[in-house]
Amino acid sequence: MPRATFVLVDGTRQELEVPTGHSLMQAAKEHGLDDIVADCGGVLNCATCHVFVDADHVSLCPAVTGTEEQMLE
Amino acid sequence: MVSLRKYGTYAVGRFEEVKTVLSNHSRFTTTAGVGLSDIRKPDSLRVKNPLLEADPPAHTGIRAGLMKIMSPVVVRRWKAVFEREAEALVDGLLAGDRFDGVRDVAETFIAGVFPGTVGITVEREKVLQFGELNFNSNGPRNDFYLRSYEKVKPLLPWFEEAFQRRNLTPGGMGTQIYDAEDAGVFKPGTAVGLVRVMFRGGFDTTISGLAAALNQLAQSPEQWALLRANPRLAVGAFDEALRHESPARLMSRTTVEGDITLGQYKLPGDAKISAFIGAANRDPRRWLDPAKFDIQRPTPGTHLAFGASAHICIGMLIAKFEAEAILVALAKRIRTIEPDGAPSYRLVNTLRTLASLPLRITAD
Repeated sequence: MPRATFVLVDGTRQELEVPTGHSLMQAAKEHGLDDIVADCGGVLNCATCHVFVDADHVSLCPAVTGTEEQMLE
Repeated sequence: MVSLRKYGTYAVGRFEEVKTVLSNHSRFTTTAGVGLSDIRKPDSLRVKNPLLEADPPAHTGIRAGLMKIMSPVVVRRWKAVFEREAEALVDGLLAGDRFDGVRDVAETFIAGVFPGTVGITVEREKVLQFGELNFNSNGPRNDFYLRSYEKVKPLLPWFEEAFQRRNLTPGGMGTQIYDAEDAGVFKPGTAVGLVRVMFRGGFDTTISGLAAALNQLAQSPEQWALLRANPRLAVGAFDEALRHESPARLMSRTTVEGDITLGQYKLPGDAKISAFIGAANRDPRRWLDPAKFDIQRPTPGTHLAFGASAHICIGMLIAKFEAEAILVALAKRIRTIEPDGAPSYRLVNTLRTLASLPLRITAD
């Protein structure tokens, strides 16, 4: 299972196993990592989650959707 | 799926089907109206709204224009105002030990903070009457609708006037919508409808959801204790209240021509289909112990009370910050909150909303 490392606001690191296709935000919430605000709950409405994707990996991601574009300043 | 012959609509109430009907605009269009009547026909109870009653791709540009005006960055700036107003309201409540959760909290708070974000000046009682008419008109032409239409008819000119540019406060979302219309972001003549839907969407349903949250919290001392121990649960408590007692009970769509199937059923074209959101949010196939109000349930982002997909509530974040501000202010200062008599409901087509909610408190 893929492993995700969360670096919290205070600098501590927490590793979680996150199933392929699962949401990182939801995985963090399920494990009580409250540093992730997620006001809207993952429905593209609050932009409290932002992601920087390494340029090498951008091609692995689907294209940015119109709604995602709307949430960026 | 059932056919409601009396009302000329199909209806779904399970979570999966409701989500599909609300989300899949290429099969279930909003362009014929989100109420029971077909807005393309002359006897419709609704007039077409430029945001609600448009499908992608036409809808996408309009929504993007509005999203700029009410972006998360903008909405977050109002948080401090909401918090200050919430604390002042709770100060007032603590002068006594009994109040009405609808009139003294939900209505007073939303009527106090929300119109300012739009930049509109309104009278609470009139706005509530309009809300009733609006939700009644999404249902059938029955006595509820006719009675509220008669009541509101003399106020219609006042209401239209309130949304005109000259009556809006500079800097509010309303003025910005008119400015964007000037700049060519929205089609000429559509700004007034956009201001109206933005205001309408942030009033009755937020009041209803807030009152529902207070009602459930008053009935469950252990949930109140949880909220007091961890105020970060406030947004979750509001989302859970919206799931538990979804204010907008149903939204309708219309099938497009062609082979439309939903589950095992084939549907004719040009047929109304109503998505019963309140039922979906209590569907035992989707929710464990659905009748239980549980503020720790991971409800945010998973229920359908805000709608789904392209038409998901654009003002969701405003509602959540308002609810968070008032619930946190209450939880910080009030040790116990409990029913002080039975609550009563206002009867409105397609809207579930309390009329009164007598509560008794002890302060910290």
